[in-house]
Formats: sequence, C-alpha cells, structure tokens
Amino acid sequence: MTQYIVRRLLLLPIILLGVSVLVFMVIHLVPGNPAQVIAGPDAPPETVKAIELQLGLDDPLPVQYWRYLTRVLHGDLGRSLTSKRPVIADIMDALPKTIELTLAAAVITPIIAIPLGVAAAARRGKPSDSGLMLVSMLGITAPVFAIALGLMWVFGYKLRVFPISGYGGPLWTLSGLRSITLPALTLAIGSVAAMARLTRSAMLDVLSQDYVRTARAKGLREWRVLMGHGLKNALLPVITVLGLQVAYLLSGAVVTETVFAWPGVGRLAVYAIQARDFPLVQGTVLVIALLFVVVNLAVDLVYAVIDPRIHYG
Amino acid sequence: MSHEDTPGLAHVTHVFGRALSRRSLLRGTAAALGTGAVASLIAACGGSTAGSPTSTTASSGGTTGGGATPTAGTGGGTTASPAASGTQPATTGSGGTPRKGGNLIVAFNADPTTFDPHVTTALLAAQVIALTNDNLIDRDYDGSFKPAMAEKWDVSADGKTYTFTLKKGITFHSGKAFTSADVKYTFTRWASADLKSPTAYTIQPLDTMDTPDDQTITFKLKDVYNIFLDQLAGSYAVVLNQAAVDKAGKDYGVNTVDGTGPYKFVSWTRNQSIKFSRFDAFNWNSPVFQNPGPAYVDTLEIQIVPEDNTRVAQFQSGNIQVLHDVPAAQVQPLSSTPGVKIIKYDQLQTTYLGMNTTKPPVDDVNVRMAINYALNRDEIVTGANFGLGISANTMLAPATPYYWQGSQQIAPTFDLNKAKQILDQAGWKAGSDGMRSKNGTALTLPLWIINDSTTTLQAQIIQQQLAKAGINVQTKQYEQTAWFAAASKGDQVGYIIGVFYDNADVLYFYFYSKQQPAPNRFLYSNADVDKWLLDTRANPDKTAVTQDYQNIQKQLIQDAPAAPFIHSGGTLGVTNTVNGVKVHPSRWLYRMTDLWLSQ
Repeated sequence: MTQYIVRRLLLLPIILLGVSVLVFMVIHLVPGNPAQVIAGPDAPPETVKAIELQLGLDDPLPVQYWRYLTRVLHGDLGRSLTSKRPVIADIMDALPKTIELTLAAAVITPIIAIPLGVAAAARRGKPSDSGLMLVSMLGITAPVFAIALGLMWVFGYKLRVFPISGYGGPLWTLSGLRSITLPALTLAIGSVAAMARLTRSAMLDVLSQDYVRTARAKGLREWRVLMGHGLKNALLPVITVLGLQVAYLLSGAVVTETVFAWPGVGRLAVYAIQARDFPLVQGTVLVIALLFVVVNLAVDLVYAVIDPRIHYG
Repeated sequence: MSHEDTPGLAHVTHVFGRALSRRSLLRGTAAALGTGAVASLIAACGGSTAGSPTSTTASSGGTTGGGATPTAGTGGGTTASPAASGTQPATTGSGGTPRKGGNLIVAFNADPTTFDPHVTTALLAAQVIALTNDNLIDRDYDGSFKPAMAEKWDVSADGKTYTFTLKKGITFHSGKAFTSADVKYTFTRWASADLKSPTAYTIQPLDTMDTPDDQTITFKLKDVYNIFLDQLAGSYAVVLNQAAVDKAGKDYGVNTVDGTGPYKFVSWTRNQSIKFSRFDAFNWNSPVFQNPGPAYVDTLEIQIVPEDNTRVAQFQSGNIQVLHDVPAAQVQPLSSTPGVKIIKYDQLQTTYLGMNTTKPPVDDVNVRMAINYALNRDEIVTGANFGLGISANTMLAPATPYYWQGSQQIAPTFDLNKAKQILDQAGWKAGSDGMRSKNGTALTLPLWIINDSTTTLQAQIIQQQLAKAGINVQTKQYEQTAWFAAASKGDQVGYIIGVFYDNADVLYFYFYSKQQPAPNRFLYSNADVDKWLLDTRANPDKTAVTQDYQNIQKQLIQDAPAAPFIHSGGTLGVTNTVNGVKVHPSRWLYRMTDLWLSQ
C-alpha cells in the first residue's frame, strides 16, 4: 500500500508538468493578446509592443515556458497581468472557498442519495420508485444555473431562510453555514440524482444474488437484508462514482460559484481566461489539476478500506 | 452589445475582458436575454407584485431621490441630455435634508482590477479610483471642467502652458499634506518609461513640469494639445502620494491605497467585496457636486456579484441598494416593483456597423451608403435593445460637445427604396431571389460580431433588413477578446462594435488615417479629414475647431465608413432609501458624495 502511494505521488509532478505544458500551449494558441488586453483594444501599437516586451511575450514560446517553469519550481506563480496581485495570493484566497463548497456538496451527496437509492430498490416497480427515478432524471438533466436560480428564488428570495448569494465566512460559522447551503445543494443535486440511480441499480443487482435469497430464507428482517447484505456489497461502485463525482463537483463549481457570487477558484479561472491573464490561468489550472489528482488517489485508497479483496502492491 | 470604452482617456474608453469593462456590463445585460425563461423566475418576484411604477427617464445629469417627480418613463426612450437640449439637469426632490450615516451597498458585476490608476484601462477600476483619489479638475455633467484639487488654472496665449493653483489644506488619507510635488511625481510616474503605463501615450505632448511653490504647478507642452484638460480630468490623472506608492511597491493599488478622495480604502476581498469608509477631513469637493464636504454615508461597500439574475434578486431583496446596470430584460418588471427605482439615463455611446473601406463590397461608397439607408434603426432599438436607447445615424451622440446639429439634415435615415435605387445605379442588380450581384460577384457582407446576446440580436435584425435591399449578410461570431485580436489586422469587412466616449475627439481616434488598422478599423483615409482632425487637437482657436468638427462630421456622412444605429441608454437601479442619485453621462455615479440614505 505504502509503495503504491509513493508511486502515485511520484507520478504527481509528471502529471502536473504535462498539465502545465498543455495549458501553456492552449492559452497561447487562443486568439487574444494579454498586452492588448492591458493596453485596451485601441491603444497605439507601440504601447502594446512596450507591454509585450515588459512581460516577455515577444520571446519564443519555449523560452517563455522555461521561464515560467523555473519560476514555478522556485515557488513563484508570478503576478496577475491585470491586477498585478501575486497569483498565489489570489489562489490562496479562493481555494479554501472552493474546497469548502466541494466538500459540503460531497458530504450532502451520499447522505441524500444512498437512502433514496436504497428506498427505491426496496420498492422496485412501485409508484414511489418510478417517482424517485423521474425526479432523479430531472436532477441529472436540469442545468446547474436553473437549479441555482430556482433554489435562490424559493429559499433566498421568497422564504428568506438562506442568503441569496455571497460568501458568509468559514463553514464552521453560522453565517458561513447559511451562505454555503444553497450553493452546496445546487452543486450536489446532479450528483445526488446520479448516485441515487446508481445505488438503486447496484442494490437491485446485489438483491438478486443467491446469498440474499438465502438470508431472506433464513428469516432475516428485510431492513437487515437491505443494509447488511445489500448495501454493504453495493457500496463499492457507489464509492467509485462518488470519487468521480468529486471531480465533477469541482468542475460544476465554476457555474455555481458564478451564480452564487462565491469567490472560489472556478470564478477566478473563468476571469483569467477571459482576460487572457496567462499567469493566473496557469496557476489556477495547476491547482485544480492538483486537486483532481489528490482526490483520485484518495478514492483509490478508500477502495482498499471498503473492500479487503483489493490490494495495492 | 459590444463596446469599447475609456473614461480616463479623454475620448474613448476601452477595456476588454468580460470582467472588466462597461462593454461587458452591457454584455452581462444581454446575457440575461439568453436566459429569458429563467430570468422570468426572478423577474416574477417583483413583477407579480402590484406597486406604483417608479421607472424614471432622466437626462444625463438627471437627479432623482426619494419623492422624486422625474419625467415619466417612456418605455425606454431617453430624453436629450442637457448639452443637446440646453436644459439644466432635472433636479428632483430628495426626500428632505441629506442625512449622514449608514452603509451604502453597491453591486458590481466584476472585480475592479486595481486601484493603481497607471496600470489599467478598466472602467470598474476607474470607478473605484474616483472614490479614493482626486483629480486637479473634474468633468461636469455638461462636459465642462470645474476645479477639484486645483483652485484655478490659466492657459497661456500659445496654448502650450497650463498653470494650476492648488487648493490649500488638502491632505491624503494617511495625513500627509498635498502639494504640487505630488502632482509632479504623479505625472512623472505616469509618463515614465519604466512603468510602461498603457495610457502614458495620452500625455505624450507633456514636456516639462515646474513647481515654483507648494501651491503651483506648471505643465509645459511640446505642442498645443486641446484635449490636455480632458486628460487631467480622467481617472488616470488622479494624484498619488509618492511615499505610499514607494512603500507598497508592486502592491500599490492591490492592498494599499492612499488618496485624497472622499472615501478611504478599508479592505478588498478579491471577487467578493471592497469596503470603504468616509474620509471626514474631505472638504475640497469640486463644484460639480452638490455636497462640498465629506460623503454622507459612513461606509460604502461594493459587492461583486457576476450573475445578472443574482444581482437583481439581491437588489429586489434590499440586500444591495444600487444596481450598477439593470439587465434590459428586467427593466420592465423592476419598474413595477415597490421600493425600487429604475433610472434611465443618456450616455455618450454609439454602436455602429463598421465597414472596411478597402475591402469589397464595402470599398464601394454606394454600398456603404445603401446600407446606411437600409437600416431601420428604430426596429433595432426596440428589437435588440428593449427600447433602451435612441436610434443613431451619426457617430457622435447629440449631447457630445462639437456635435454638428446640421447632421440631421443630411445623415441617412431608413429609406429602403433609396437604398435599392443607390445599388441599382451602382450596377448591383437584383436576381430572381432579390439578392444582388455585380459582374457575377454576389453582394455579400461578412459581418464580424462579438458573441453576446444583444449584438447577436442586432446582427440578426440587420441581416433581415439588409436582405430586403438585396444584401446577403454572413455573420461570424467571436469571443470578445478574440474579436479584438481578429479585428486588429485589417481583415474584417463588416463588423459591429460600440464605443463610449467623453468628447468629439473620438473621431480622431477612429477616423485618423494613422490609426489604422485599429482603432481605425474602417481603414478610412481622407486627407481633408486628417487635416481637420489634426487641427482639432492643435488649434487653440475654438471657432476654428468647431468648423473642423463640422467639416469632419459632414464628410463622414458623405463617405459613410460606418452605419451608426443606436446611442444606448444606461439603466441604474436604486432602492427608495437611496437619495441624491445623479448619473453622469460618462462617469456613472462619479464620486458618490451626494448619495445619502434615508433609513
């Protein structure tokens, strides 16, 4: 196990290097000159040229990349081209907020989804099963911004139980908890729906196994059959999907953060791309890539904990 | 719609990046249209509630307040602004004597990039810098200049020397006394080669500065530069404290701001909020504003809410008191929401269909003129802009200083038959499908647009209108920054773009031949126009300059490199508790010193 973790961690720099090369190339291939953005679209060419020189944008791409890489290896992600703030400061401001949001949604997801999936499996073919599956299909297909605005309208505007938007503070404060509820729910709804459906089908699969029939024949109560024999064995694919969902939640956070004015990394990345703020784009994407890799590793490790048959060596 | 804008440059304001510009604010407005069904969810919050309509139509400079009795709303049309109509700004009741206190919350759609005036061209940055810092002079609501940190100024007979006498008793927020040395430092920094300020070229004619005493500064110019005062009144020319700038280094404007303005910088949480507190010592306000002393509100908070519908919902809930720009689709529902006012105001803005005069088919002046006649501008204003604006057939809005009143007699207005007639005479014959061609070449206009909802709608309407004249429009959409990259090489044929400006110098910016390939994306070149444009900047005789501008406007109508179609109006939402609102045609809420809260 330890060997496996070390191997995965050793791969991390290579993955990040690949990501940085890819992002660097893509952002430089997209039309739009950051010097022109800074100078304004109608600035004289000599002004634009002067800014290009200042930023080193006139150098060949490999030279620019090497300069960037050297800086990053020294722990310096550079300064934003537009705001002149250190990129690391911007990311460190935004990152905890995105992590809070993603974690909250990741916690909400199984709490709602698994009971729903189990209940639907237990009532297979009944109206409540069909109803749950229909609602979950809506949850999967509805656009995030529509869900966000719907929740905002009902709970923020009409009932006024939660703030409409904004970051209210860290998760462990009351105002923080209130402010994260709607964005976290919005972010979680798609995952809840997907996971509920998966739990249902995994449960149905397990419940059709011989050992479940045996358990029932032995006179075990139905809830013990469901929870002890059914859910326990159905959980592995669910956990797999939960891991993938965390990655999905991170990407879904871009829209959610924008709608709820949540000052996270997703919003920062969108702004950076639109402004062709190269250092900020590279910094935010690197951090998001790092999160993905770490989350995936964590999920792989959780497998082994849940299913003793899985060994990493 | 898509715009270029530059409040600080004397003439044109441009910024790009959705998060940065007024253009993007308007794009944000447009974005709401694309999500109409969802928007209606939010709109329904207020729209379904009966209430007395409080929509107002104000001339630029129109003032509204609690108990206001402004001109009744007219479904989006804006009235002529004072400079054009000769009327004074509409002053309305403000609900009583201004009251001190309270926290004013204003919503922006994006983070201002920085408080350092010399490293940005962003409009939102200009708006926050106006809160913390002062200029020597301010631009009044009618476009004239008024003293701010300066007590008075003189211009030498040859127009090359400007001498400013500065007010006494001005201090920075840090407590340091303001002197002429601060002005000299500020302009030296702005023009320095080391800083490479993106706006340094705007003061390029500045030669030397003298500070004979603490209260006097003399600017000596290399040549006559008629827009020098315009530059001094721009956001890039606010005065800085050298000690604060030196101490903060690269972090000046990021987490350190020291100015002499009415509000002190308190904190800035990126993408979340910026907080200010009143500067109690501030008593040198410009006569542009009614309140000569410190701001009325104790604290001011700018909240960054990027999504249109969220901003509107927050506004309807009373969580924010000033809505920076009201999405067009929500102007009507909000107008009937109790407790809020929607203020429509004129701004110096023009959106136009530009034509590259060197590329076929619009290298033919007849085609350009026919396009000008084929555009039904009222239909575009109603169909694409929800009636928020006035139809335009000249580059300058009527409120612009040096606007030539005679334009209206000769500028093309919608006349489809005339458009057809011009094309017929020019040899562009209609085929069986009504589309035209000449010598086997189809009359096709490639039209490059930015992919926001309003511009897309405008392009669709224009496409239908020009098809009626036999012109086939092929639209190509670009993301905003990519559009500017694409349209900076001279390959564009037709395009739609908008521009905000302060004065008629926008014509120099866009039509002077040496401004090719951008911003003179028309690749327009006319020796007479060039001569007149240069004269507008260099001739100290105002009468001559007036004649120059008349000649230029007349020639541009005849050469038709552009088909202007709308002067967009602005919309501002305020709750009924906010008083003293006065919207500037090019500076929005400006210094916010007249605003006060009744609760």
